[in-house]
Amino acid sequence: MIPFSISTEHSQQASVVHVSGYLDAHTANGLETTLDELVRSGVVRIIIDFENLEYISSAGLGVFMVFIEDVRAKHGDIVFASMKPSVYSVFDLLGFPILFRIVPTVSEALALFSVHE
Amino acid sequence: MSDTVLHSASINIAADTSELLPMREFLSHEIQMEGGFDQYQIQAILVAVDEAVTNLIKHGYKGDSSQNIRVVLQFTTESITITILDRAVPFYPELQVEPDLKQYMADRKRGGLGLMLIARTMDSIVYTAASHINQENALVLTKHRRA
Repeated sequence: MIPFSISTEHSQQASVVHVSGYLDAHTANGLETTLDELVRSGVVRIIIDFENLEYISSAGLGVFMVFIEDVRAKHGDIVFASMKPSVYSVFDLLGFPILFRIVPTVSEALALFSVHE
Repeated sequence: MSDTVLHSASINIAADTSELLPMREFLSHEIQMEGGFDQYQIQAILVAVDEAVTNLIKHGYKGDSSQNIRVVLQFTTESITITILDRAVPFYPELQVEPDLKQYMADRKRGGLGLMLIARTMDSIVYTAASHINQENALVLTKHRRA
C-alpha cells in the first residue's frame, strides 16, 4: 500500500492536487486542510489527480462535498482525473459521476479549464 | 446446495481511525487467501466494513480510542459474512433512508453516505443491539459469492 500523501502543483489553468495512498476517516482531514487553504487563497479551479490513490471511503468523498458548491459559485470547479477503476466504483455506487466531472487524465482536466476561460 | 463454513478469522482493533488501514489490509489478505472474489467485490467489502467501523469509532465510541472493536470473518461456500462487534451505546442504522445527494451537496453535510455505501455494497445487513443475552452489539454484513 502506497502511504498517504498530498502535494499541490499550480499552473495557469488550475491547481492540481495529487493524492496518493488512501483516503479514509484517518487521512481525510489532511485533504480538507489542503483544499481549505487553496479555496481561502482564492483558487477555484482545482484538479484532483487520483493516479496514485488506491482506496477511498465516504470520509474522503465527503471532503469534496464541502467545497464543491463554493468553487462552482465562483465559476470554478473540482475535476477528478486518473481514477483507478476500483476507486471509481465507489464514486459510482454513490451516484457521484452525475455530480462531479471525472476525466481520464490530468491534461484533459487542464484542457477543460482552458476551454472555459 | 448446503452452505458449509470454510474458514473463519478475526481481528481486534482499538476504536481509532489509525486502525482502519491495518484492518483493511487484514481483510484484504484474508479474502485474497480465500479466493473467489474479484477486485470489485473485495473493494466493496473493504469499503462497507470501513464505513461501519468508522461510524462506530466516531459516533458509537465518540472518539474514545481506549475502546475496542472486533471484526469476525466467516467464509462459506455461498458467501462471506463479516460481523462487527462493539460495546458502544447501540445505534440503529437507518439503512432504508437514502440521503438526497443534491440536498446533501447544498447543505454541505457529511455522514449518511457511509450507510448508503454499506447498503449498496452488501447483500444483507442485520443489526442486533446488545441485550442480557449478548453483551455486544453486532452488525452482520453478508455478501454472496458471484454466481
